[in-house]
Amino acid sequence: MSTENDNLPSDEHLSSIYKETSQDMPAADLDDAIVAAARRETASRPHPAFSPFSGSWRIPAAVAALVVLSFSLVTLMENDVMPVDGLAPPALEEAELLQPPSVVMADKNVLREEKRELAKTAPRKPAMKSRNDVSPATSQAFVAEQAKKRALIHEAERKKKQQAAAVVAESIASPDAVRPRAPALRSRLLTVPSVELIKTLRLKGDIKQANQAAEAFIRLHFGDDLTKVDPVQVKLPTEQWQALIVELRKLERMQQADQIQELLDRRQQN
Amino acid sequence: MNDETLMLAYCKGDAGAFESLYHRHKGGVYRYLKRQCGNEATAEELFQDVWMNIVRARKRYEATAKFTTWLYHIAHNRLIDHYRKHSRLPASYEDEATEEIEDQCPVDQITEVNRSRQADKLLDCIGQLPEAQRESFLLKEESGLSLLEIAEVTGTGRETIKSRLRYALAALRRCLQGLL
Repeated sequence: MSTENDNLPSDEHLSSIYKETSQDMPAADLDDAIVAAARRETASRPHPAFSPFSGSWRIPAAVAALVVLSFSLVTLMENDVMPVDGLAPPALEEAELLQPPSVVMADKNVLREEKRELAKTAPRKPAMKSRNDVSPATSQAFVAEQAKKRALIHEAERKKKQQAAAVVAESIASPDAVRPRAPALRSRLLTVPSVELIKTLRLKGDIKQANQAAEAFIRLHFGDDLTKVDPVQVKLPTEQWQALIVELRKLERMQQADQIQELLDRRQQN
Repeated sequence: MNDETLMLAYCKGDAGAFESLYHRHKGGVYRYLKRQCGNEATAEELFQDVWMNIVRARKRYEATAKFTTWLYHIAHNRLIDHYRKHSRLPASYEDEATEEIEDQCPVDQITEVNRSRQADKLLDCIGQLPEAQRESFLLKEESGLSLLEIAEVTGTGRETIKSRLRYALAALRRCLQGLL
């Protein structure tokens, strides 16, 4: 006992009485639980003298991972927003609201498949041996190769869209000739007159083609007789129905637009 | 082997060293917590937390600090957390005792009462002390720490601890006189 204890106010007799109570101990199962936990800790977590992911290595490793992720993300985004035929990526238009989600997904899936096919056929970049082997020339070659690959993909996409426009035009001219075709073509037609196509045609100033595509789109998705379309049955958000009305007015199909508007009003009243 | 050597051995992975330390100090810590919070179930919960804190914090342990000071410091902090969790830090921790200490006749004059009965009565009397005084008394009796070390454990001044202890002893003597 240290010397400071001498200064502790004390009472020997009280201390001796207090010591009579020292048999009060924790339960044996509590002892076992604590000792077992302490053993588990030493068994499960040995403290190595050096770990590659301890201390000063963590931050540089995290930064490196962040750089790699950022680079991948930027590359992916570049691929996604590359403009078609020199046009800026168009903003969302009313017609886009007409796209049912399934159609949009189908469009995307078709594009994804085409990209995948092109990626398979495109010449592959030689694998780098190590970080030290990357010379400026190799790096430039890599960038050029990537740009070439992207250009190929976009060219293919453009061609597909042109073909799609031709199919739509054909379907408008003689719908009966197109409809009985193979189910694959019918399914393709459902995805063909996409909002993107209508938009691209409008931006090019090809209003006639754009209107035809929009009409085909409406007919394919909502049928020939819009008066039979029941907004209660067709589960579309009100904004999308409004967008359809706008599109119909653009096509000067005022009567149909009014009919849909009436149906919508009725639905809201109900 | 002293406490500090055992703790260092445990830090290096010797679980047996922990067991020795635990059996050496479990009674003191348990009684300190139980008598301080007055509830056996709560005391057991706090007791387990204290030892698990020791296990988890072993990497931070330095032999420069006395093991018992560290152990009771953790126990004291856990107790204060418990008080705060139940939204009451006893006022006795804030206030200095101001009441007059009366001269009491020494307890050793209470001779006709058997020691067992005296011990039970003493525990009752300890339970009636203000928390801060009770803690000072329990730490003195259970931990074997010095005045300075108790002050360090509780984060208070040396004179405060001295004063709390004087008041605690006086109150206990007064309480035990009822046995006469």
